[in-house]
Amino acid sequence: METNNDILAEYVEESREHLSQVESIFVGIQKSGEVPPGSIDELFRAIHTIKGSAGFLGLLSIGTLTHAMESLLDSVREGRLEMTPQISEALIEGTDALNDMFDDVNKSNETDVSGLVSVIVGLNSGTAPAAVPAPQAPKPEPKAAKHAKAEAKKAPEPAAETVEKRSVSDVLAQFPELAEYVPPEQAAAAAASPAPAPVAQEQPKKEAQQSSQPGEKHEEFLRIRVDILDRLMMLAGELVLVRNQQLMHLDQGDSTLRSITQSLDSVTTELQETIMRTRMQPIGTVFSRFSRMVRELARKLGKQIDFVSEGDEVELDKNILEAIGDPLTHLVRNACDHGVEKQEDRAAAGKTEPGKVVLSAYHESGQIHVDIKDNGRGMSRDVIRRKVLEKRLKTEDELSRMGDQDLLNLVFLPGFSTATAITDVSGRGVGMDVVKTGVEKFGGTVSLSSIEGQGSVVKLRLPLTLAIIPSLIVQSGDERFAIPQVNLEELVCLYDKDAFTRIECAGAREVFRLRDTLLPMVRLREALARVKMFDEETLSEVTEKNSEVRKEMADKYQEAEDSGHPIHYSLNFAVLRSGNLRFGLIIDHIHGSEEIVVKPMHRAVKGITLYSGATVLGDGKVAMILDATGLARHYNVRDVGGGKDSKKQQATMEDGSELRSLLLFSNGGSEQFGVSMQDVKRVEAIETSAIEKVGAQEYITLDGVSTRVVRLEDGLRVQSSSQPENMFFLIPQNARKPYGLLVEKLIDSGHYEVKLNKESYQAEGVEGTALIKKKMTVLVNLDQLMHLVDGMWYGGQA
Amino acid sequence: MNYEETDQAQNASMQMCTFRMANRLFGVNILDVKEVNENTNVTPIYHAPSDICGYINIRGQILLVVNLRETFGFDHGHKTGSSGTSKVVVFKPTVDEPFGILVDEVCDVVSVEQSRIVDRRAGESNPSDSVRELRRARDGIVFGVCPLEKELLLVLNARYILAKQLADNK
Repeated sequence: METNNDILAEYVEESREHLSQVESIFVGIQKSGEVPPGSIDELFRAIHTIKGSAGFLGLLSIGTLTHAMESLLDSVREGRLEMTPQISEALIEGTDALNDMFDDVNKSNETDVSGLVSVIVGLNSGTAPAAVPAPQAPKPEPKAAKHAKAEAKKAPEPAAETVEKRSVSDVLAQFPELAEYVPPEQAAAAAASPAPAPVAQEQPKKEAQQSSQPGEKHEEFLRIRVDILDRLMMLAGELVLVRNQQLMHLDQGDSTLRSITQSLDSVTTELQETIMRTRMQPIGTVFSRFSRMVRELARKLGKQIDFVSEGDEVELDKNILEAIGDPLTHLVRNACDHGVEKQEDRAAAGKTEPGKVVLSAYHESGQIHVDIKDNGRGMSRDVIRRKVLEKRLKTEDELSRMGDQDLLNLVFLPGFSTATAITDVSGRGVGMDVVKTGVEKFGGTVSLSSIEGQGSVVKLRLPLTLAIIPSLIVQSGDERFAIPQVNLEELVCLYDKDAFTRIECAGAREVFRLRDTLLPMVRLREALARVKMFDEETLSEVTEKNSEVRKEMADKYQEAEDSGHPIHYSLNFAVLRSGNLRFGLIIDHIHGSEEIVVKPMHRAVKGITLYSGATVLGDGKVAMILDATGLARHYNVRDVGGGKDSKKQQATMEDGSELRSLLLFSNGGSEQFGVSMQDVKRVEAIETSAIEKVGAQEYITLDGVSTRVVRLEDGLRVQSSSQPENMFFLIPQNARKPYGLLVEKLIDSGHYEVKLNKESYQAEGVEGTALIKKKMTVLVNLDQLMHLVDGMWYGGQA
Repeated sequence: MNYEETDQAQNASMQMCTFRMANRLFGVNILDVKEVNENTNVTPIYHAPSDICGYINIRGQILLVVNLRETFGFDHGHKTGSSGTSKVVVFKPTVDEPFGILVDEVCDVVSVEQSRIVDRRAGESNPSDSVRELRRARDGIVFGVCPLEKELLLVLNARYILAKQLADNK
């Protein structure tokens, strides 16, 4: 029985290849609208081969369906029928049904294909009589047809050979149409001497290949086992190391040896690159399945959706190709379900063209970009806003501060789904979140843009290969570790005093105030030393221990400074991101970046969440690759800051003051002013002579845009500027119209503890005052100030 | 290669690669052994079970190194053989994913008749001390004992060495 299963498995695999060929031909026909010469023959051969083996394997439904399809194709081939859209539609449907049956081939006989078969037969017979008035009329490709006939005769013959328990007559009874193909004595002889199945199956295929027309382009492919490829890759890696050793011990004086070594060097490099390329596969293999999916979805949803794929030939690492299948499926589904509207809705919206989903892949800056574009209704910002509020993912206040892009990005939040009804297609509230995490898992990124009423584009950026990744090499204790660059946001180095004063304790954990966020800190050394997951107890123990250490350091530092021989400290940490979590990883040294070849963990140690793999460093030593997600989980890191874009992050300190990132400036006089850094888009140094007056208003031209100049004294009762030649121009972040604030001098920028005093100086356009750098500072609210200065012009738009 | 195929192979001899660890003599089927390497530059794998030394790089291939001393609960500390450094016995890929074991000293290749290997799982009326000790620690790894001229040879089955880690992982 096992051989039977083997035969079946091989048959399914082979048939799938044929089906994908059939699909690609149909996609070509649909795309170009015409039938390329010879393609009908190809279709016929593919379907025929599938049918040939289905019979003796007892796959009745597949056999019946393929037979009907074959007959229809035969009519088209013989010129009795035109390849009308109805026919190609029916054949595509047949192909889909076949694909479905091959998904679970053992149950395929339970599938009811009679409806489809009768449609196909109807198409075939309905027009057939009219089209065959002259049987002897010259046929388009009589030769090829004859050839295929010959094959048809041969195909069932090896088929009979593999039948073990089923008699030929049984099979013939099920497939009466086969009877004419099988000469009785041949069948009997074949049944008597069972031949090995693979050979039998190979035969029709080979013939199919031989019968392909001369001049047709042949591409040579060879199926290679993945483990052999892996082994080759490993050997190439070993060769590289041997070459490195050779280079190291090279006697520069010997010119013969040097030239030999040089060629060894170049050949080795090329060999490695070539072997790497064997892992690359065209993305079209993934794209092709979506044409079928979109077709099916369109039918199910009652929409009209065209599917176009571009850049099928772009190559990606096999592992990545496998990994993007799911996220892409999600996105294409989303585009069909939520994006493209029903035809009547489209018409109502004034869209004449049919719905369209475009998948395109292309190279850009060393990465592969994949865009999923639809011309549907786009994403309604109002709906997003409503959903977010409904699900309590953000507050109204937070939403009101968000820019358009931030608002769009909310769909990536876990638990967000805009589908009004949960359909069986999509809308389980996990969609985009899963896409994002799925893509980020292998080092890719997702971005989204959408114009309401015109459609959406989701852009995926993917690494070329997973096998080689850029990473940062760091050290903790005696060991070096690799941190994948995708997880890395920035590196922070604290010197001297900062090394022990800037890390603070918040509850049981250590935190660092990085600009406007509180960053939970993870000490790699402690994480490595403790096998058990961190709980509150371990955390506070670690935190306590390290705050002791910090105190000691502080004492020592002070002592050394007092004695006149200051000692220098430094503390490095890397800011890592895993999903929505950010944390600082304290390490001993930073070595620099290196392109590393990732090797998976040995199965005996795979359960350790801290690592995502191992690699061999340049000097031949093995280093572990740290997994940011695993590390965060192990250290029990939780988000202490909240979303990056919310002002909530201005963490409130115990005494009611908050940490804020401010830009401090003066307007000529002695007063000090501050604005929130988040409100400032950029600062330009300008010359006041460039300011032009239009009526009472002043303008300056920046990047070709006339920008309204607002002066502080226009809105606030403060000393006016002495108007020196060089001044600064603050351009606000959320400006609806171009305007900027003219200031005389920039003082400083940074994080300041702000204890806002709202009583001492009250005015519109002012948040309040605070003591910053031992000076009373007026905190200006840019938005309000603009309202004040030009209520009509600015506020009227709001 | 199958240790249990005793019927026909009763008198067949088996080539054993022998090595010393904590003053005991061990042997593994030489057909399972790929090579013997110097133990250099082990990268520890934090959080791994204590009997896993870490990873080493042998010609570009990353190899897991197991310290059987820990597995068996022998006295700690690395006692090295005459050469001064410990060695790694590397197993073939047919045995498991690439791994090796840390040994103090690699000894001769010994040919033993399979019939002389006493399966410790059978008739153990009077098991030797060392066998009893091993049984306490690990099951399966020690396949049997074979008395040589001067001492006992503990026959290990390389295929079971990582079995426990895998069980732990599940």
